[in-house]
Amino acid sequence: MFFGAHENRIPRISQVLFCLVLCAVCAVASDDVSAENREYKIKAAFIYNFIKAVEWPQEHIEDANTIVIGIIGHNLFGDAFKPVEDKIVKDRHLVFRVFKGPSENDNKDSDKQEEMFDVTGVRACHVLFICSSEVEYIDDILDAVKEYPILTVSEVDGFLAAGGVINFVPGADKPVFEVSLIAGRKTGLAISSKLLRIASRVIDEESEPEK
Amino acid sequence: MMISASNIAIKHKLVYFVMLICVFVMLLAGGALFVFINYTYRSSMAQQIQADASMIAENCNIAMAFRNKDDVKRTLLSLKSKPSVVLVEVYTEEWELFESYVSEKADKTISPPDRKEDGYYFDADYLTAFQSITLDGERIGTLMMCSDMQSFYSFIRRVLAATLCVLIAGLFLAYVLSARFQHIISAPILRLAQAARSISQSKDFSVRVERQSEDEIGQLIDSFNHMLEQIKRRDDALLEANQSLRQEVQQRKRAEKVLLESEAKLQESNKELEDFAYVSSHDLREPLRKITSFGKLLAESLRNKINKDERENLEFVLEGTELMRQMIEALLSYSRIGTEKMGFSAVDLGKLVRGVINTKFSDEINKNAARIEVREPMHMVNCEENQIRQLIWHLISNALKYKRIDTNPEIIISSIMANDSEVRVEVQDNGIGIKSEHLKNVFGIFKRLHLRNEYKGVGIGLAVCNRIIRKHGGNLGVSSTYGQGSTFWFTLPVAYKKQEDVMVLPNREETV
Repeated sequence: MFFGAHENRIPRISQVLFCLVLCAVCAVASDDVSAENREYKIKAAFIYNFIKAVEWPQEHIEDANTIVIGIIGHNLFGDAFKPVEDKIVKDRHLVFRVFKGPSENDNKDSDKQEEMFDVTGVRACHVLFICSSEVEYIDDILDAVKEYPILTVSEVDGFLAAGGVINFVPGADKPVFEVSLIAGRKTGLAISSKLLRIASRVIDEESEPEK
Repeated sequence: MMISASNIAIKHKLVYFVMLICVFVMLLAGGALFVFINYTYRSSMAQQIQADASMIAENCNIAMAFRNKDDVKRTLLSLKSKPSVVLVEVYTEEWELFESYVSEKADKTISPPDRKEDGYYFDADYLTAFQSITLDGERIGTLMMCSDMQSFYSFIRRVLAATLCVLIAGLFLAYVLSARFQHIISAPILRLAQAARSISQSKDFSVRVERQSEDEIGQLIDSFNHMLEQIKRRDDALLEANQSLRQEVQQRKRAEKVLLESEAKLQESNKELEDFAYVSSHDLREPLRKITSFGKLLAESLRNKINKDERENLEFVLEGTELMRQMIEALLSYSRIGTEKMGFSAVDLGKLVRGVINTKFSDEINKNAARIEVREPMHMVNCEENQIRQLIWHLISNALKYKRIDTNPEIIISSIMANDSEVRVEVQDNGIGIKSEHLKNVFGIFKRLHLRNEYKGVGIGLAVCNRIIRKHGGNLGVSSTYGQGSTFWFTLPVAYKKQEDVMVLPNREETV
């Protein structure tokens, strides 16, 4: 349409320039968006693989046919989990549950955890990803699930020190993760040594947790 | 060195065959073992590489899931401890090469086979294994591991060398042992052969071979000895028989000598007798002539002086002397047959017979209306012509003389071949015949079957014929039916066509 009739004598060069600018803007914009998409796509893949590298204890909550992946907080995953949502891991279906985090809740300042977030629902998860939006409520959330065999994953500084099991840290070209064996033992989960090998940092009892 | 198998000595044959069998058996066993080792080694190699591949795959599956190159690389590097592994490649599930490891030892570029299913593949230089990398049953990549076959080939070489050494050692051992022990089989055979050789040379059949085993060789030796026993017995029997034969021959020679002597003596006495007979009859004639002539004179002179009875008596005396003269003449001619020299020639019987008939009997034939048939052709015989003429004359004369009263004499003379060398002549008549009890007497001297007034003659004719035929080496005989006729036959040697051929009879009696 731009390049249609000879009669439309908008100068050629300006047409081209216009297109270029448009593309650049789109590119930049999508770059940002796609970069974020890409990061969460990778994180989703990693979480999927964490499930494969971790053993839950025999007795657990509810359904024996599912593995529940809970995401609490401002969910930036979007459809990152789409490639794996139908897959079977350890003979179980994957079920995704999104919980509103305390930060999104009106009762965020309440003393009762139940009012801050869906504690029961969260406790029913196998894996719990705490979004960075809930950075202030990490302790509360972790406290609520501390007796439960839940793989807690997050992407905030100090997560391991707070008692989380796996924490994503920013890497050079792709995310990298660190693992807390102390927390893992506390939750009763068995983490494969092969996973530990590729973690950027592993915290165990002998070493000092670094911040 | 082409030696026919059958000409080699037994001991060498035994050794060669044992060696040959050993070679074959060892090659077979060695070959089978080699194949087995080859197969076993290869399958253990395959097992090993598959085990290694699956271990590595298991080790790096999580790193692979997280696409962590460092960790995968580190895992692969652990294969440095396995020098036979020369190349390892890790592929994503989309068959993109993710990481690889190349051993320092790899001396040339390896071109791995095309992507294949999990498993192992042998080619000339490498053993390649493919192993899926899985995490929780989900395939997340593929591991390819190449191992070189150097160790395999060097192992094979060592096995072959060892096998060769064992083969050579085995052959050597087989040779030594078989050479050492072949004599167990060959020694008795050789002994037997040696004994046979020496016996056949020395002809001493009393030798025996000693039996040392119970097997077939022992049985052979037994049979051999048994045969020797038989031979010895026969040999001894032969010698004995020979001995007794020799004795018998000597006896016979002695007897023959005696016979010859007595034959000579007989001939001598025969001759003396013949001479005596001839001389006596010859000498008897003279006095008899005197008696006859003076008797006749006396009869003549006294004719008128004596009476009838006395005249008759004188007649009787003269008859007697006449008879005696006849008898003496007959005896003389009989004995002459023995003493005169015989000249043999080939004679045509037919011609001779016809001659006799025509010259001597023509009158008598006419007088008696007789018919004499000569059946031609008659044979040629080898004989003394005169004597046979005499014989024929006697036979025809008898045939005519002894005719039946009212019958005309009919005589048939014929000859046939009695056998290859003799002619049989027959004189058949229709006369009075001879009684069977008299048949044997007819050829005797002075033997007569009738009275002097019935038929004339002194009874010497057939005796003369007999003597003639005997001098010719033939036979004389008669068959007869009393009242119907007789057939006299005699045999003479046949003569051949040529008149020059004169056959001399075997000398039964000496000729004068």
